[in-house]
Amino acid sequence: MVLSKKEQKKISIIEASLKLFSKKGFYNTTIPDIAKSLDMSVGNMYNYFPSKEILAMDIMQYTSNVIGEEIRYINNMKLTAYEKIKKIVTVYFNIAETKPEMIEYFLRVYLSNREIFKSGCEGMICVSAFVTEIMIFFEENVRSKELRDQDFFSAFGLFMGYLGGMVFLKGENVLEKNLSEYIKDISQNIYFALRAQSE
Amino acid sequence: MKRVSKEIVEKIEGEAKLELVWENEKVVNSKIKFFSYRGMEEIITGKNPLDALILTPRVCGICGHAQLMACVHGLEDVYANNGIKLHISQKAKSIRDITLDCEIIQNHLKWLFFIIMPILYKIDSKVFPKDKIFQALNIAQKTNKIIATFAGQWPHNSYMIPGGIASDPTFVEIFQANSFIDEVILFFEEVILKSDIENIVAIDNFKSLLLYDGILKDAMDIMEKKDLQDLGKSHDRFIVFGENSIFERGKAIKTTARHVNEKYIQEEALDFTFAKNVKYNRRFYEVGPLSRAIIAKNPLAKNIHRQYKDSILNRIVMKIMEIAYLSYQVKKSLNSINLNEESYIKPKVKIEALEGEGHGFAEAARGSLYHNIKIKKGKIANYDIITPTQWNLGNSINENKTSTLQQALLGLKSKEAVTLVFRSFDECSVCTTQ
Amino acid sequence: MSDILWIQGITCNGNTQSFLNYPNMKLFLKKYNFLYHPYLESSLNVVQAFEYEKKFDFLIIEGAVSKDFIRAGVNFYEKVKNLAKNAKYIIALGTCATYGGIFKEKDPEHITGVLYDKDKENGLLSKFKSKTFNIPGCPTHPQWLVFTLDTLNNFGKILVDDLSRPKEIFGYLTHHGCTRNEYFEWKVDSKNFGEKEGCLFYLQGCRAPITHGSCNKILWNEVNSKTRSGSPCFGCTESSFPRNNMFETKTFMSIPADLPDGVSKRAYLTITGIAKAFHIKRLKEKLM
Repeated sequence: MVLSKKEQKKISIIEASLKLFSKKGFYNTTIPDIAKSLDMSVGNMYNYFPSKEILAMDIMQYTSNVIGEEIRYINNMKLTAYEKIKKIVTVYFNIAETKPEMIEYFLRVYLSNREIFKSGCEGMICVSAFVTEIMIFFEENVRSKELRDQDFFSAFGLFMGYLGGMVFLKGENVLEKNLSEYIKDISQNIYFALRAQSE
Repeated sequence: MKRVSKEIVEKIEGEAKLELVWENEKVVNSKIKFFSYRGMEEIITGKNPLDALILTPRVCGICGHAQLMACVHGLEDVYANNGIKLHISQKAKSIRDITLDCEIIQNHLKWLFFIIMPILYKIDSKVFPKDKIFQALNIAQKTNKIIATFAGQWPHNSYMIPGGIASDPTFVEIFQANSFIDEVILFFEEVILKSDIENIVAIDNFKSLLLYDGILKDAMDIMEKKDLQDLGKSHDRFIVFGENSIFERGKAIKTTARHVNEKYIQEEALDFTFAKNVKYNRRFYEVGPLSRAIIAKNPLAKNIHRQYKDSILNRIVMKIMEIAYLSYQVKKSLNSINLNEESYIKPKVKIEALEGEGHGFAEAARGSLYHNIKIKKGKIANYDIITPTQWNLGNSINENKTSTLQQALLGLKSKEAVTLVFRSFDECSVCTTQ
Repeated sequence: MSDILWIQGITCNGNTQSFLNYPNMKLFLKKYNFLYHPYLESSLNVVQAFEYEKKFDFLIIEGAVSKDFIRAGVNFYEKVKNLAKNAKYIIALGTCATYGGIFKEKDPEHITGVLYDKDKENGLLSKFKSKTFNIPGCPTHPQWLVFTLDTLNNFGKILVDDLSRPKEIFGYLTHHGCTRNEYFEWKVDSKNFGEKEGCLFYLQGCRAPITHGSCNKILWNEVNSKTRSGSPCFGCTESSFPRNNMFETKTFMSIPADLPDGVSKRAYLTITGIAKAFHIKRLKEKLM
């Protein structure tokens, strides 16, 4: 899909903002800060994003779309539930290592400053692309009887809470190894927890 | 010199074969055979218990609502037998009874105008006016609108579920139902028995009944003129198991009512027909409007019984009068429902978690209906249905112990008399064989 | 006057009784003559009907078909094959006649509908496809039948879908016209039966968004419908009827296993996620 020039510019603003927000935090980063890092005028910034809050919400949607896209790709593969879990964990940790600002932003801005997101990002609407793909992953693997049927949120919490927690610990420099070295164990833990029991 | 006549009886929600043995121009024996069998009891076995609420109405197109009532009662009895008391609001009970009463009313109207009156007129060498039939059909449609108002549609709804009903009506529905039942009552008052409903339901003797013009009087006049009044007497044994609305449980030999217990119900299969016999304590009984009237100690039924016992006169009159009694009851119930009560109170335990047996009874148009449900490991392990026509239309293999119908046919002298007596029981072929 | 011969296979008579609710019966009988009908007066009796040799306009078959079912002392299948040859149009009336329905469950190998065996086009009478029209429903609505008869009578043809069902009736979903639509739009689930509020799709097993029919457009008994009165639609016009556990919505990880007709999983989940994020106060409250 070819993006228009305006859309490409928006994305470069988002990516620059991601880096700044995740380093300095939401309140300590200003629109002039972001504009300066991109060699843009502040006025021009407001052409793309009328406010910092709207930018914050769009960043969340963008991030969710990027990760969602990866998971959608995995969902469309013909693999077992375990193989898909492993691929999802790998993608998540990959992003955490190559584009750490994305996961940082999620943990340190989105989750920690709910007040910014309360009107315009109600419920899960700003992370909907990502959540939809996780829902599809679960639905298809329960339908094929590889995973146990249960309430969506109990499975979601287990999977995503676990991954987010690991990335958080990495960010705090508590983990001894690189994230990629935990992929196998974590994938197995998730799979064993969620798989359908044989009767 | 004996001769045997075999005739296919049709338009009884299906067909049957009636074999009569004639001697000296009188019926001395009979057999009723049903041709085939759809296996509903087997279809329901193995299913989820609540699915029975959708399947059982399809036993029959005209009494499916009674099947639903017996089914939900059976399922609720499974809870009771597991020590779980379900609370069903008076509002839900009333609405269930209202819709079931309406199914009975529409059945009787169809029976009277499509079947009985044309037969009687034919015996009197006349043709029953078609306009009256369409008028009655229109009124029967109105009672079905009452059912649809609360249950969504008729035939085939499943709005009764363990714990209550699925619908939550407002006064708009109550008023709508009221105007429909008013039309039914008006029809009875103008066409069937020309008087006020308050007076009609209070008539307690046959002589008074004959003072009023209308279709009922026409029927009585023909029966008197053609000497039909004493025909069709059977064992004078009546039984009722359902307790909806104005009906009471019990059995009676002649007119004294006694208690009944379902453990004495016995079914027996026969090799020449798909219908099974059913007896109570090894005897054949009659079910239906006459039985209901006798056991509820209806004064008119008892009065007629003094002279006519359980002849077709009593059977036909009490079936016609049941239209009035039920219409009156429906109106009373509609005006006393408390809409503030809950329509449905969810059982604390899912029925799939229970095991055991449940007995469900309901009074269908033609008589007592019984569903025996056994649940095991969350599925229906066994489902037994006993229908009113099974009670009335048994075949005794022992000539000295006739079934209700066989006894009623004994001694009849003409094909017309046989037709009339046969139809006075209002058979349902699909129900009988399931 | 057009002739109708209405015969029955393995049935409960539900479609016959439903037809008796047709409000303009007198007018109907001025346009159509019943050579045979299971309840109304007819020129032939049932034995004569099965033996009828002449050509006639409409054969209505109510009920499922099997090779050894006996009606009125004769083999139904053998007789209906002859009648089918002589009929100008054949109507498979009701879900049993259309796909096999409830009575197919007794012997799934040997009992079928007229044209269809569940969703496969190998019913026992499928060779008559070119002149057969399916009007499923358990039971069928009387207006659906009369519409089909009138259309064929007047125009000699009728627009049908790929299951030979009249499109003007079955092009709609039962969902169209349900008075609880707003709850569906905003994904406000009904938590229990017996309430005026809430959509029955998520928990109570309602199949209306997946079922073809006009139940909420042409009301039942001219007054109501299942879903308007708080009962879930059981999907009785489709080949899958009867299903299992019909009072519950089958879910995989809280997501309905069967989604509205033609709607993709992603589309449905995205919309649902968004709708559920908003709590519309009015829709959470009782209507009165």
